[in-house]
Amino acid sequence: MPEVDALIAAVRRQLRRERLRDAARRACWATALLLPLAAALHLVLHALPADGVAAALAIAWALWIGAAMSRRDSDADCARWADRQLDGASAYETLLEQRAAGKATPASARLQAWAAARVPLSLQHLAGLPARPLLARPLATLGVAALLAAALLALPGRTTSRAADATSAQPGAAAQGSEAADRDAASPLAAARPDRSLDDIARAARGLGSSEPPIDEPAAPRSGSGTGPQQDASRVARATQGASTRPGDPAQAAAHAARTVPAPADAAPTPVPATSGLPGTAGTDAGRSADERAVVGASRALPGPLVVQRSPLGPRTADAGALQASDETGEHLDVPPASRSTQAAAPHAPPAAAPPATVESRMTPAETHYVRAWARALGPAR
Amino acid sequence: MNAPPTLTATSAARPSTVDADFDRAQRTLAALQALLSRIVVGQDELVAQLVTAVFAGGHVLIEGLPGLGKTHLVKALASALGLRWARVQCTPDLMPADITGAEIYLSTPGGGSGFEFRRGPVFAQLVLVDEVNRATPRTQAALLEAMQERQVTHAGVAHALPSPFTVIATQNPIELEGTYPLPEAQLDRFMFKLVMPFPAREALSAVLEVSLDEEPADAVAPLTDGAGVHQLAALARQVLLGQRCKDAAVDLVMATQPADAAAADDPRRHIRYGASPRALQSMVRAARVRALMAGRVHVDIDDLAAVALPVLRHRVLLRLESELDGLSVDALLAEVLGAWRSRA
Repeated sequence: MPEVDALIAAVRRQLRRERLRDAARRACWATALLLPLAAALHLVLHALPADGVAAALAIAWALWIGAAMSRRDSDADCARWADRQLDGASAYETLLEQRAAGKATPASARLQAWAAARVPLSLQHLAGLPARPLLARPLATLGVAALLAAALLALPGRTTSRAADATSAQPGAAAQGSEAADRDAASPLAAARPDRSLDDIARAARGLGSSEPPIDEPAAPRSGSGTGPQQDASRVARATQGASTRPGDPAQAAAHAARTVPAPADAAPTPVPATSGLPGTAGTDAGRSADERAVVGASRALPGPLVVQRSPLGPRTADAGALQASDETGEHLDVPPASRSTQAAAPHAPPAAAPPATVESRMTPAETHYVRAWARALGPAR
Repeated sequence: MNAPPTLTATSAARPSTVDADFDRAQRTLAALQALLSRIVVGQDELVAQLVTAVFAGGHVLIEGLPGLGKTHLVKALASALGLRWARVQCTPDLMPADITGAEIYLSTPGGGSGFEFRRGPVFAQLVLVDEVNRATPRTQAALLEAMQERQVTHAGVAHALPSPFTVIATQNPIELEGTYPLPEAQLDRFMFKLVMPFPAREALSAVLEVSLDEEPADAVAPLTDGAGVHQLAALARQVLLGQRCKDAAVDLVMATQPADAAAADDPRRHIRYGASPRALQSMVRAARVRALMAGRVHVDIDDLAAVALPVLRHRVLLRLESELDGLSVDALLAEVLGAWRSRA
């Protein structure tokens, strides 16, 4: 059966070509998918080697092509394919089965003749088969993806300052970010990093704008936490003046209010809710204890700033919030008694525990000079 | 598509009597189809299926409206094949003995007497059972042994039926009042169930031309005889069947089984009982004859597909809900065959 054997061989070559084209199509699609991904990773990580990407793609292509080339179709598979695709009417496969079984029946001899006569027609069909699968679309897609990837890989990667910004933008990482900023500022190269200095300037500008640190910033301790002798003295005076309004001594608070502010007839003395909550600083003992513990000329500030522990409180009015803020400076005495009744209704805050020191807030001399220079420069504009 | 190639130029096979037999069988089958198509106009596929079933050794159930020429076709087939044929018109009062035969008391002039078995019409080579669903189940059951065992047992004595033996039954899809639908066991005895469609307009005009002045079935010259039918049927059994076609036939039968996990959703949802193993045998035997008709000595998937519907349509039973929803067996099998053909 040389005719049938020739057909089987031709079919085997055709099947191998189809597998190669299919492997190339799959590889094209996979490469077209992987190239933009690799480019995106390069933009994000800034560490994707182009050689590695090329090597991975080459390995994948080699595996696909190698798998396609390594498979050899059996004669039965080729005959079945010819029967289905080349109008063989199941003759070729049946003929191979008869030959394998060694049957020499009159029917098989007639089948052999029938198949031999059918081979030219099948070869004609085989030659007329279109090349499948088509590779135009995968190749075009691969070209577009390669151009896109080349354009993206040509862009510079993401810088570390942006990464640092992204890190410091997260709420939980603010403290760590400031620590890193301080360490960077202490280094000699800090002055050469403008974006780093801008952060410092912004933080310093917020500190210069108000004498008290904002609620979000790590605050200094309220008792004896001044930065110098004058500040300590003023704090002692304010504490002495406002000691009568400390909780636990409502009678003195009422008497003090009656002395200083003419109260309405129906006004009831109400204690001001304590915010510091430290023992020994309430009532009349507040002033005494301050005098005893305060050492003029020597700050008892902790080496590091204390982080304000924010405990959840009930809903407070704006007046209550103002009173709480003015408690730091002793301005609560100016609050009318009507507002004090509102303050009395506010829930008492739990005593705050001593927060751990987490952030170093002192600036180096270089930072101080730098900040002052920028503050002077920004002063007229503000 | 399956036109046989010319073997004169490229044939490597030795000329033999078998080759001549194959060629003669193909010519006989083609001539028979052409003859019957001239008599029953516009029913070419039905004629081909009927010839296929006869040479495959099967029985045929033809369903069609009255007046379409069912009896005419069977009569012409019997004449063309040179077979003895008989007709049984079924009625509710038809008794089994009216079909199989009965013992009658005979007395001879010499004073002798005795019982003698008088053979019924079932002992013909081609039996036309008209309106078989009008016979009672008892009479229908009398056909069971004859169709399957090809013998009739009477009074403990088995009487062999002639060979070839083919039963062609007809039934009317309307006028169901007073009928006895064939049980599934008897339906399975029929190799094919053919549906005779109403002929097209052009076919009706041709019917007038061929049958207005004479009855064409009465003037049919026999193309062969019983022995020729036997020889051709034996030749059909030599047609080769490849593994691919075997697998395809099995797959098709399994596709009609609702309990089979590989069956599609529609068969599982609508089919109550699938095709039997006898359906598989019938399909392969009929496909061999179809291959012979096409001039091949090997079966192709197309041969199986050509005979699949008449083999399966009366063996697949739908669920009652699906029948009430108006689903037909043919529509369901068309979907099953389409899916099977794409896989094979």
